[in-house]
Order: sequence, then structure tokens, then C-alpha cells
Amino acid sequence: MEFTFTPQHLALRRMLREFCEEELRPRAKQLDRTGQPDREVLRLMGELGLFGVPFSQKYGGMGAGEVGYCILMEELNRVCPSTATIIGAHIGIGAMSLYLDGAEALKQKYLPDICAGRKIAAFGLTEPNAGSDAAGIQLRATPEGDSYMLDGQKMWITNGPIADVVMTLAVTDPALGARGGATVFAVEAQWDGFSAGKPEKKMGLHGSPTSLLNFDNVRVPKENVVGKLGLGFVTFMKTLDIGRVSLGAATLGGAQVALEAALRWAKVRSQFGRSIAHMQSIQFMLADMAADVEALRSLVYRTAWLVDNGQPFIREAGMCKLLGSEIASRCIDRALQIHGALGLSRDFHLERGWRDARIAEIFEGTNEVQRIVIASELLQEVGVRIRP
Amino acid sequence: MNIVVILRAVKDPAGLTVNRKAQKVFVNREQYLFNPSDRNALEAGLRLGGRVTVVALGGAPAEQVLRDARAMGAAQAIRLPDAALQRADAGVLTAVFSRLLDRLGGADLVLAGAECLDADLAQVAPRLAQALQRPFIGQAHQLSVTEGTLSVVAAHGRGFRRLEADLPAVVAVAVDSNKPRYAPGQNLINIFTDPAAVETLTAADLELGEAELTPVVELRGEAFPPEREPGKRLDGDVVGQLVDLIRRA
Repeated sequence: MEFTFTPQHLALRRMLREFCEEELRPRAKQLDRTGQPDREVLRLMGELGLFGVPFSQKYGGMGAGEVGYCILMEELNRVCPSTATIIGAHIGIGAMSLYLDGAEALKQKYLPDICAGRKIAAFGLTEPNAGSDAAGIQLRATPEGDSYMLDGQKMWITNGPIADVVMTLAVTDPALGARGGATVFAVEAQWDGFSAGKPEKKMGLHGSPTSLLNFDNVRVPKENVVGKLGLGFVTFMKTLDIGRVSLGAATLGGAQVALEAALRWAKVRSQFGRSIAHMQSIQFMLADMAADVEALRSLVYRTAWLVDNGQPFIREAGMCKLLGSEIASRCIDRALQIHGALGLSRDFHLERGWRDARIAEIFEGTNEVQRIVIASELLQEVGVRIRP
Repeated sequence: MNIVVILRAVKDPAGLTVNRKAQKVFVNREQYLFNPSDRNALEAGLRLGGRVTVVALGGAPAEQVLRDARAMGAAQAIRLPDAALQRADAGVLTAVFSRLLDRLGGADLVLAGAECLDADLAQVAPRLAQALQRPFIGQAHQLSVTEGTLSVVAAHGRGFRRLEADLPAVVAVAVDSNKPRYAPGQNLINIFTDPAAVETLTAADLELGEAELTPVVELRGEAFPPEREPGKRLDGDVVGQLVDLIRRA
């Protein structure tokens, strides 16, 4: 067993660490305050290839695989969860569905722009009446000549207000529903009938715009069908499976930075005549955090390795997302406790980190859904089939 | 235009603890950095355009610095891993680099960082210029080349001055004089995958003899500089007291 990063991945991490510290950290607070994505930093990220990290160089991607993509998400989320979320929705689920199942011509049409950051992608699954029950979507796609007319609504779409192309799941055959009657379409935001709602006011991730999307008879050419007609639900579930690995990596970044902050503060903060690092109550919290972070790190990068090596990974991916989101929330909460009142200050990053972390227990499949995914994988091995 | 940039990998000060009481520098984590002003020198070279070759001495840390430099845009990288060069002083390095430049067919411009995070002797660049009989400019902040003439804005006292020199020349680039570019991720992946991204040469390849490889500087020990006495605050008639103190000094 060899469990080390390659020189390529180490070099990528060094570059990303420096980029995030130098370019992203000074902007993170501002992004949280204004809720406006920083176009300048996104442009720079595009130039460095950060919008296409896991994708093949054939399409203009970086060719760094799932491991490289996890490194990106860990490093971004360490410094600016809002920016990490923009990239996560763009690469991890938006572009990923096209990359996994799209026809070659469609990939050639969109992926080079997506990888260069010239087009921002989004993933349109959730609807007002379809969240955890994703099979309950109602957005309709009706054939008309050589196109489909899309009519309906999507909700809580990350990158909604800034996306140029939205991978949208729509019902093509209501009789079959999700099982054979749902199809993914690549929909351009500039097309007639498409509009994005106002950015939602959220508890965290203020710099990552989320909105509803209106499809008012949007004409989508047939060549923009992603994957096979009727099999869109499968494409989207496959996309979410792989997206959970990098989401776990993002939560790892959040947990890691909380541990680092807690260590620094425990060393410099003095009470009762000595640094609080000498108190067992603090030491126990630090030890628990470090154990959590290390366990998560092992799980995330092993799962990314499974993905890159073509091994089954669905169960582990669910664990990455489930454990990662809970570990991050816990670690950031503990770090905040160690910082005392300072932890609550809006001038300090932990308050923002605490708010930003919470969503990871909800989006891309709630943690309850993750438990169902993991359990059904487990039970399948002993011959029990779970139907949602 | 052919530009050669001399690079160094230096110990990361973040991994060191300086303990004056114990008169020791403790290495907590042995990790290496791209010497900061060398990165500025590389950036200055890349901005001038032309073909940039980067060279460095040493083992794995030098390899990493050279690969980073190639990912930033250098066209060629040469590493000198020779054990015979491990104790090289500025004199030996001058001999090594002038021979290397011969082998490369010369260079219009040789760039190096003006400061080094380790011993910071800053000798190699000026001595190399002397050995090659070329003009030398130190503490360069801005470089431009027009029709074979190099124009440099260099730090001078508390200000700057503009200097001109004929090419070929040797220039030491000041730290923080520019913002080095980030290496695009695709380049990093490709360069760090390519086994041939960095060439290696030995002292024997450069046909350097025993005499040229023998350092004249010998390290006999290391010690901390003496601690400075705290200053004395003057109150009242400051000027009068100062004049009096200077007179008695």
C-alpha cells in the first residue's frame, strides 16, 4: 500500500495554497459582506485552470483527476467557502454531468469554455416540490420539431444568477417519471424564456449566489440533450455520487482551518497565568479535532483514489459527505468555543466559517439521504433491497 | 534574447525556531522554498520575453524549484546535483556558472535574486559579472531592453536611479520588485509528470578541475551576532545632548 501524493499533486497544492492565501483570503470577508462574487478573482482562477481541474486536457481541463480536484476544494474551502461553493457547483456537479455522460460533440461545444472559466455551469435538480425526493420533479420538456420546449421551475440553484449554462433535469415522459422519463438538458442562460430569480438571503455562503430559475417555454435544441433520452435521473444520481467526494474534501478544508486557528489561539491566549494550551479541557478538544480531521483526510483522499482508479466508491462517497459535513461543523464549533467571545466576532473568520459550514449537512443530498445511500449499499451486500 | 536565471532552494524559515539562549537554530520541519528574490528574478526574465533557462545546484529541493520555474514559463531547466559542489563557495559557484554559460552558448542576460534567505552573501552575481567581463547591476526593480541596451531602475540609497548597460550583462533582481506569476495548473501537472523536464549536469560534464572545485572559504563554526544594547532615550535639550554625546564618542 502506498498512500502518498504524487509530485504533481504536491505542486498543485503548493500553488493553490499560495493563491488562496494571497488572492482569496483578503477578499473572503468582503465576499461575505457584500454577497457579490468577485469577477476579478474568478477570471484569475480561470487563467490558472481552476475551473476544469478534474477534466481531461483534451477538453482544456487540468487533467489532475479527482485527487487534484479534492485538493482544490480543500484549499479553497480552507480560505473562502463561498468561492469553493461556486467552483463545486460549476465543476463537481454542473460540468461533471456533461463530462460523465454527454455526447462528444456536446462536450466539445461547452467543456473548453467551462474549463477556462469563460462559461460558468450550474446543476438544476431541486424544484419547489422536489428536494430529497428528486424523482418528484415537474419541470416539463415537450418535443417540438428538432427541439424541446422546457417549462417549469428550479429552486435553490447554486450559481443560478451567474451561470451561463445550466444542466437541467426535466420530465420528457410523465408516464415513466424519473425511471426512464427524465432527461438532462444543457440550457444556456441567454436563451429566451430563461431567467434567474434574485439571490436568496442565506445564513452562510453569502458570496455564492443561489436562486430559483424560471423556464418559460425555453427552446432547447435536441443536440443539447446530455446523455441518453429518458436516462437523465441516472446521470444526475451518478453525478451526485462523485460530487460527494469533493464536497467531503471541501468540508475537510473547513475543519482543517478551524484546527489550525484553535492551535494558534491556544498557544497565545493566556489565562490563570499560563497559555490555555496547558489546560486539559483545551487539549482534549484539540486532540478530538485533530483525530476527526485526520480520519476525514484519510477517507476523502482514499475515496478520490478509488474514483481515479475506476473502483466502486458510492458508499465511501456518501461517507465523505456525511462525516465531512458533521466533522467540519463540530470542529469549527469547538474552535469557536476555544476562542471564547472572539469566536463570535464578525471581524474574525470563525463566525463566518461557522455559518458557512452548516449547509454542507443539507445540500447535495441531506445527511439523512446520505445515511440511506450508505445503508442501502450495506444492505444490498446481504441481499436486502431498499426502495426510497 | 537568451536569458539565464540562477535559482536556489532555501530552507523555509517557517520550519525553524531560533533559540538565542541555547545558541541554536532548531529545524522543526525541513521544508524548502523557492528563494523569494530568485522568483522575482525569474518573473523579470519572463516579462522581458525571450528564451529563459533556469539553473540550480542541489538535490530534490532544487529539482522542485526548477520544475516550478518551468511551469511558470521557463523553456529549459538544468540542475547540478553534484556532491562535489555541496560545499561550494562563491568562488566555486562563479567558476561553475561561467563554464555552464559557455556550454549553453552564452546568454544575453544573466539574472539572479539580489538576496538569499540563507547566508545572504550576495556574491555570486557580481563575481560572475567580473569573471565574464560584463556589466553588473544590483537591486534591480524594473528591467527593459531596447536594441541591445538594458535599462534598469535600481534601488540607490533611499531612492532609485535609472542605469543603462550594454548586453550581455548580469543583473541581481530585488526582492518584492514584481509580483511573480502563479504557474497555471495544467503546466504544473504536465511538467511534474515529465521525467525530462529538468536536465542534469555534473562537474565532470562541465570539465571543471580540482582547483576550480576547491572552496577557499571553510566553515569553522556558527555563532549568533552579539545582542545589541538597548538604546537610550533622550529628553529635554535633545540636540545639545546629542552633540555632546557625539563629541565624546
